[in-house]
Amino acid sequence: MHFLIVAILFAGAVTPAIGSESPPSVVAVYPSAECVPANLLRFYVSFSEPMERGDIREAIALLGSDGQEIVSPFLNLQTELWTPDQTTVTVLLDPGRIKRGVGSNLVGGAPLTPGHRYTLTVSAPLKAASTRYPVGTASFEFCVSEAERRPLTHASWSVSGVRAHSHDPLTVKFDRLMDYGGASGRLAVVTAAGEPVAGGFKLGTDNRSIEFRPVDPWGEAGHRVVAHHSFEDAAGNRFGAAFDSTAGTSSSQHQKAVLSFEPKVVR
Amino acid sequence: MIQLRNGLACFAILTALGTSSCAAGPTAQTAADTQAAADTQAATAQTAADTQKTADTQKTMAMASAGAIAFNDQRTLFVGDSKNGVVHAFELTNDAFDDQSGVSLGRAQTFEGTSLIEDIDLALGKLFGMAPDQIVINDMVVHDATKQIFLSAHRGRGPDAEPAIVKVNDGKLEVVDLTRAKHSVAKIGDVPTSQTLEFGQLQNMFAITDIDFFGGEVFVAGLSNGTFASKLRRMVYPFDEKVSETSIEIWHAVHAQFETRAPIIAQDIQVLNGEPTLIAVYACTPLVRIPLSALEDGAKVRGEMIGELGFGNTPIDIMTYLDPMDGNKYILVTNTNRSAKRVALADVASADPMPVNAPNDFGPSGVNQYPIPISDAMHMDMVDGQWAVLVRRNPHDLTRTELHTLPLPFFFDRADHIVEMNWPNAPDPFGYRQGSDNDD
Repeated sequence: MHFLIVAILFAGAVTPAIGSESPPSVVAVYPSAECVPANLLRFYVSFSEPMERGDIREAIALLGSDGQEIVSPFLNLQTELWTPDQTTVTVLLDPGRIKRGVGSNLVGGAPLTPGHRYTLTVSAPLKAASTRYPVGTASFEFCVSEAERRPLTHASWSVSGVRAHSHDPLTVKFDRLMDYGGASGRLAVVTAAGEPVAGGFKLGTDNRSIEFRPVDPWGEAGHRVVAHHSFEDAAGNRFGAAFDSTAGTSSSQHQKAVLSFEPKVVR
Repeated sequence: MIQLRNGLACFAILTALGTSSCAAGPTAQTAADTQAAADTQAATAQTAADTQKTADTQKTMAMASAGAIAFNDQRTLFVGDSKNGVVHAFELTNDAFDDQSGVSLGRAQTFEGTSLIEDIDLALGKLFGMAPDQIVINDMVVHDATKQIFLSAHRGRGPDAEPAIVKVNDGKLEVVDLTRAKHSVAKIGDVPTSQTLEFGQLQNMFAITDIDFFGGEVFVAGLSNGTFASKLRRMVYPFDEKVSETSIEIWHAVHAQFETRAPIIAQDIQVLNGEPTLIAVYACTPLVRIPLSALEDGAKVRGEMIGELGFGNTPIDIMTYLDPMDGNKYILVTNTNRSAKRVALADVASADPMPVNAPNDFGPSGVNQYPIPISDAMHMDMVDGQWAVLVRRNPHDLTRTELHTLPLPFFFDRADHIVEMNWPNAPDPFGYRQGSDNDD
């Protein structure tokens, strides 16, 4: 299971109006998993070049396995959540339809049903910012698993072993699909004294693990992996607080996770 | 991202985009630096937003985007710049304003608004020398003292779109020269760094949805791509070194749970029962009342949800007005998928919070609400005690965008309909004609 893209269909080729420049294309859709939980909160769509704002609601659609468009699966925001370079856009599924018992959930149902297959399509009128060519039509098929409504807990995470005096990568394995965007900047490796360890994180291609490579060799003392309270899985669940909690429960706890590990000493 | 893209297949790009490696330090380096000294035993991972909680009065930061705008009670224009993660304050000079009090806004006695600019997108395109579909109007505000309408706009839809502040002078558009204004900046959100850009990490971005000025302070609401949360920033103007950040928890009737994870889309601040109070509408549309005194830095506040405006809808703007017919103050919320809603300020003040731990209520419910026939209002603000102004789709031709006035109490606009009270000697069921002194 590597990533979400099962099929990319470039259909309805657009004839470039100027020179030989090609239309922009979708290069990735996240989460990068074959199946996503039924209460998935966000898609991230990355493009081959900066895109124009203003057309996302018309350009992105969700189709059922019968090819019929799912009605209003996304949060109807006036604001489009692009990265500053406008190559990646965040598309929020409508929390009102995801959360059980909400009016739109009862009337329209959840956008995604476990066991079913869906296709996310991206097409015109979304255009490249520089050439204004419409995006090449792209389709991303995925399956849907049961909704994930458990709060995050680091008790079910595992940390790989590393050897002291080595540059061994440290891998943290999660028990579920994590949020692609939320993984950025919300984890740190620190020494026993709380000093940050220089290095870099890389989210696993299946979005279920993350790898840390230290700049300097590991020391012999114990270390900790620290996760910020806003760290989220793909369904928006946090530590101690499920995104779709049951009636009467608080969703405001600010918990952090700390995983301790000790490099194995190499002589 | 850029350095890794060339020549790589989709799989490699996926990998690259998921990479946040850096040579100089960990992903959470900046945050860890901030916190390490104070918290060496506990968590050191922090969001970038947490590191940006200090205001910055530097003058050098150019405006990269122009979104939500608001005036203070004098000449200072606040501009939400989501791209830089800041709020700009431009203290405009006196000659930046043109008194618009003599400009005709329509015939209030016959409920007749007028189009101040019939095709405002075409007019902006002409002003900037661009195709009208490359112009984006992001917000509109009226300067109270001069009644002049100001717009925030973007020239272009790409990442290099140029922001501009434009004013309306007797039906003509003019670019506001910000270079002569005293300029200061307050950081409020996640600011891109060269480190994150270089290594292709997805940047967390705080999109400012609304700005309000009240009692010497600026209140900023917004929405982040990386965290779906409700946080309100609050800062004193002139900007000092501090930005307060408050998480607001509400009882969300349609969700039957306490909710901290819904973003505020529009807000207004009014004095209710002698207490300054934030009135906020959320994405799926609870109406919430929160005393400003509760909004302290780092606090988690339990706001009182007093109304549900109905599901399947997102609010656009909220504003307060005094109805000249009944003498009552109201808030008006414009919406994407429902008609506008009017709620009496007295009802906002006195409404009981909606029941907690109660069965779901899908709304509209709670505080008394009255539907107002306004649709396709992209931006709306009050001009004076008699008139509001809207950027809206022309109701007769939805391909056209106009700057149009609307008379209070917003029951209808004769310009949109054939109205018999406009006929000579026609009945005047509201007594509105007699009550108006705006007979031009």
